[in-house]
Amino acid sequence: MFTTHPTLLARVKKGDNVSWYQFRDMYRPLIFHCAEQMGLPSSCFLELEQDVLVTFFRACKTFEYDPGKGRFRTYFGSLIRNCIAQFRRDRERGNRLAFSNMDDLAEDVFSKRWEAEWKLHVFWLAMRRAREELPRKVIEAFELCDLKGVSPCTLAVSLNVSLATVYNYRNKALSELRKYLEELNFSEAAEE
Amino acid sequence: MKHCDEIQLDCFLRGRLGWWENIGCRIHLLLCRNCRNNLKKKKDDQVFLDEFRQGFFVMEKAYEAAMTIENINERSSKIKRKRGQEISNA
Repeated sequence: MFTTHPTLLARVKKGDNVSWYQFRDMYRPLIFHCAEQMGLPSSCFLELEQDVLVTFFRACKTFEYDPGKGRFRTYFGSLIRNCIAQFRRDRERGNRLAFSNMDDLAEDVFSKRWEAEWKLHVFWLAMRRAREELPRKVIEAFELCDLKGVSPCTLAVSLNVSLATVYNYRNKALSELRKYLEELNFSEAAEE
Repeated sequence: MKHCDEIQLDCFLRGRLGWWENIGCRIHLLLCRNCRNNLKKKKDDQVFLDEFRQGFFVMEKAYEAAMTIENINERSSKIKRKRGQEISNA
């Protein structure tokens, strides 16, 4: 079952193992892609991911949602940025890796990139939820036609349904996805 | 006046209508505000879907890559542990 963001964060704070696993799973691609964009080799990813999660675990013990302090995305973005910066410094100190400069980690440069990354991540989360919650035929029709470019006619033949049914499935998936996106953005805004 | 249905509008947008059907659709769209609105909605959906598709695949690829790295890492640590045990047993 898909857990809403504030609920998940509350459970993570209590140290619930399953929620920790869910949390890691949810943010894994975001951390990976961000690290990749910042020039970190993929072999360093697991180490960085652990740094991010340990730092978050330490911080979330005392972390209280304060509407005045800002959004979770901004907080998590700064956390990842700091971890990447620390990771790079440590590697450079040990002469294990050399990074050309730290300009891409400057706050304004990073935050622009982070906003874009977050948007992609929310799309992924919405799709993940759709895969969990929508009927198999609905999500299959959407994935094949709208994500993989299979023609609706071909799909109608292979599923042995009418063309109108394929369109109904796609419309259903699209409207649910929009709803999930709204909820994901709202659940974050609710923390503001 | 026969309105354009969803399938027809979709095919129109994707350039999949035959010549006669395409020109019929174009003329109808000039005259019918309702179908023009539906076409606009379809176009907006397509713009959204293009962005969605791109974002989803970027993150899906990142997720798969991260999982692969973890699997490789787990496999190699299992091998290391096994070798360590073999050495200590010997």
